[in-house]
Amino acid sequence: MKKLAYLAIGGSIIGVALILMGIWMGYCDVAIFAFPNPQSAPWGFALLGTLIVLLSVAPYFDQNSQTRKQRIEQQDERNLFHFYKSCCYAYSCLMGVGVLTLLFLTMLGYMNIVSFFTLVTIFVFSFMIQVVVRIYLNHNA
Amino acid sequence: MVIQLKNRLEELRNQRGIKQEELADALEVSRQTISSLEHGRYNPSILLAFRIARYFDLTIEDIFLYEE
Repeated sequence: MKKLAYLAIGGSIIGVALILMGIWMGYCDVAIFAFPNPQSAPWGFALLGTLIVLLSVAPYFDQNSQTRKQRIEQQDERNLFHFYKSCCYAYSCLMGVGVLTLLFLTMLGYMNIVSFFTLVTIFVFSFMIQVVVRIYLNHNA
Repeated sequence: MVIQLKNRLEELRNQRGIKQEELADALEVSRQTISSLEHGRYNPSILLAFRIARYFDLTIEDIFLYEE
């Protein structure tokens, strides 16, 4: 519970700082870094800040609104095992769609070499992590 | 080589007249987990095994039987 509170406070501070930075960059027309597209940088900062605030605050309120029975159900080790396993399968489906989208965009000429290989590297690394998680789950069931 | 982990959970629970719900509540797991453990469909983590052993005031070996 305390960990989630710290996460919520820390995330909110970082998120609000990013939102304020975005607003400041947008209104005062300040370029802190040399962004290739300076017009969208304030929006990027504000969006990132909003996402960080939401992602850090949501688990805290979720935990606070749970009854004891719900908490036990959620933290039950057998349920967690099924949850992680289903996450792995869902991730495989998501990655299949992602790879097809990547292929489609490449064939239409919307991808350059840097973005293509960056995404391919991310896919390969995340796939390897997912395989490791699956093996771990299979050996610890 | 087939390894099996059997347990005396149901036997111990019945001896002491405890319901699955009560045991689940005391161990902070779901009732389905207790049922799965009793029917041998699920092997508990070492932490849960210790919690079960402490609950019954026995050792892990008294409850869980490792068979090859």
